[in-house]
Amino acid sequence: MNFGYHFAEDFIIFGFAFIALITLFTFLLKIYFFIEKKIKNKKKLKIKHYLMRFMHPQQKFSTKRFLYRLKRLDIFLQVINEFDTTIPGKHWEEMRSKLITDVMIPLAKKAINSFSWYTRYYAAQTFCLMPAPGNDHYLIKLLNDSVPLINLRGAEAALLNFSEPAMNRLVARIASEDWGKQIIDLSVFDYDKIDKGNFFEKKLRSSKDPMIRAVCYEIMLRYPQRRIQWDITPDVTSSNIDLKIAAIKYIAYVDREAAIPLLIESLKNPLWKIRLIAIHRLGMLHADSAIPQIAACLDDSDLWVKMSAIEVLKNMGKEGDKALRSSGIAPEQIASDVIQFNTWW
Amino acid sequence: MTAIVNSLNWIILWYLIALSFCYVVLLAASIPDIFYRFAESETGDIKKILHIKALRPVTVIISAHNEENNILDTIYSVFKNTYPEMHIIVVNDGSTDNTLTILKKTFNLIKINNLIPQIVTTKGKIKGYYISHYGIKLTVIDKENTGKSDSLNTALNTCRTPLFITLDADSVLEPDAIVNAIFYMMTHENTLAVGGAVYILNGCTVKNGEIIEKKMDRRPLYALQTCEYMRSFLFSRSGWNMLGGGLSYAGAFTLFNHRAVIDVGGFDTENLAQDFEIITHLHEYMRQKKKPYTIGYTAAAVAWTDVPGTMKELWKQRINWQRDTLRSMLLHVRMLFNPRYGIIGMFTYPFFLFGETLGVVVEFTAYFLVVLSWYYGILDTYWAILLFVICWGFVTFLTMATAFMSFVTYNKYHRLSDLPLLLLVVLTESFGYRQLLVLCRIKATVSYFIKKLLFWK
Repeated sequence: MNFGYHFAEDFIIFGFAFIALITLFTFLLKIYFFIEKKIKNKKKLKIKHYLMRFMHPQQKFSTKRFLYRLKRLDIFLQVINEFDTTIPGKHWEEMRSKLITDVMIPLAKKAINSFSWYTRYYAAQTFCLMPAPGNDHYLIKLLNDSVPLINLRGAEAALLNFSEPAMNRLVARIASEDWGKQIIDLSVFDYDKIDKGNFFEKKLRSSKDPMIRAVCYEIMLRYPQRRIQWDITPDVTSSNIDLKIAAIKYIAYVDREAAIPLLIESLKNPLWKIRLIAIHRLGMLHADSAIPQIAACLDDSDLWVKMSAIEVLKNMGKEGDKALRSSGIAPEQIASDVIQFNTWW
Repeated sequence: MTAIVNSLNWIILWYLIALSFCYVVLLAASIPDIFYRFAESETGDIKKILHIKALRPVTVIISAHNEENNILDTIYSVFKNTYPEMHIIVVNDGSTDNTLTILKKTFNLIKINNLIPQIVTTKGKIKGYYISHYGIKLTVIDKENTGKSDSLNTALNTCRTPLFITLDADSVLEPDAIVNAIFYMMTHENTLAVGGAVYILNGCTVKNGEIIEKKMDRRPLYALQTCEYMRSFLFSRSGWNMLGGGLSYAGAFTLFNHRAVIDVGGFDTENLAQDFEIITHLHEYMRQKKKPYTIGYTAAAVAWTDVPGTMKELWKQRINWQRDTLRSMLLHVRMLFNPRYGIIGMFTYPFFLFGETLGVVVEFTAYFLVVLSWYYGILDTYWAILLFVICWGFVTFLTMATAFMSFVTYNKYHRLSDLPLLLLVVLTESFGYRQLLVLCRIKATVSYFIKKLLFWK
């Protein structure tokens, strides 16, 4: 019986000690991060003061040793972001370039192997700041990272640096992803300022993989139009739905005359996705000749196809409006914003 | 009789020691999660990191049955979320109150004809499909009452986004809940599901979907449930997250990959604990396919939900949970100690089966033995004290540690005086409330096995 009581006593003491330890540890963590934030702000001020000293155009910027000692890519990135918006001008651009090349890129190359994903992310952000040729190896590492956010930044960096091995890796990765992830990765091409259509056209000519071909078409939609100088028919009639859709979208983008009959034909496709794309593209092409076929889609079994047909007809002038009214649907009753569903296609 | 009682006592003691050890491991595992929360708080704003277009569209699915008092707050809280690419599907699951009327009036709903494809088989007949004339991204499906799982499956068939969130109709989301869940997904590879933390809404002041004042409800039943939820979400789920993923995430707020849920056939319509079942099923499916995946939890994505206010409602809820969790566990029993399922099969599943689900049998047996021993005059006080101290002491210490951790870190409650109340509740939880829940769960367990036996015969 004594043992039971002693055990109970020891157990209770242990329990409270355990609680105290856990609470203390949590407090210490909070204090650690509080201090860390203070230190970070101090370092940021130091860097800003240092850079401000060289702001006068007569001053020659020097990347002194202390900048290397700081080794904080996140702080450098914040400072650059602030200075980009507050201090425009050629002198800052030259300083910025030197800071990135001499200090940040070497740090980023080391940071890519870091255990912490935050550090790797900052490395990826660094490569997005300006083109730095000869870093294919690092860009591919970023594209192969397990963290999707880092992949995204890696994709941006690959585009900025336009390294062929990195671009090939990027395309292969997008081709292996599901639709949800593709939406994100393809979006980096929306902000690409340099036309890389030649590269993807070359890839279309050489690659037989249907998914890679589909990705190439999707990417080329984001660049200026170029004449189709390869046989696109096998892609348009492909059994691979993604390739079929991508090829149809591309034809609609570059060759209006060839696209319209193809799109009208696609309105009868059993897959709702293809009917939806076809209606959407016919609307973008203002294909008045397709109004009767689009009007037939007002009875479609799929809501999204139906709503897309309504929205397209609404924007097709008098003929479109007439087709809508004769169907019995009053356009003003329909919430047009529902058609925002279509913006992902 | 003495020999039998002694033997059982030893078995129970070792069981409790093993269980306590597992809880210590879980608590230790949950601490890095706190570290990551602090670290993440500086970089968690996904809108600054990603361009708007790059965000994956999400559908929030709300299944509502007789939720006329709560549905508007739930929907408004979703609209107030900072995530830009969002749609809402509300499934009116045969409500007999004014849920549908309120929705029609508030959002100016118009009925349209739409054929919903049967990607996942559903049972309930669709009575109407509505969209809002205001141009907001809201769809309402009116169907006959066939349960939450079937309602979710119906919404799944309509959902066209790559991601969806299940949200209870009596829950309110914090404005950054969806962003934080998506951020978890963007920072972990191959994420299929992300569970969020759930706090208790009762006692808080809500206005138009926004929680103005967050405070703990001081009524005993709500305070006790607050204690339970806190232990569950801030310790258990955080711990499992670091150990490879748990089996239980809140149906009140979980983000899913649409394709993955379709691949496993949607939600189980025979099971009221569909949230538990879908996660277990996803684990099993992905392990069988040998595909890399992540099922995670983030305490940063927060929903606040209503809980039962009377003993009768609580009793009914816990009976359903116990019965359906048991059913789900036995459905996937092939995972038990099966190395093919990795840590889920070797540790997580056995823990949930023997510790969480069937542990109630051991606890009930312990109480029963005490009473039996006293009746026969063979009660060994030493054993009684020992078992009680372990039972009460361990849970109390763990919960108190979680309470302190919660107040230092996340601190969702605005009122400082909630902490002493919480600690008092923690100390007294095992004197009555816990025993009541044990009774309730043992009833559910026994009746489940009896029905199964009768059905088998």
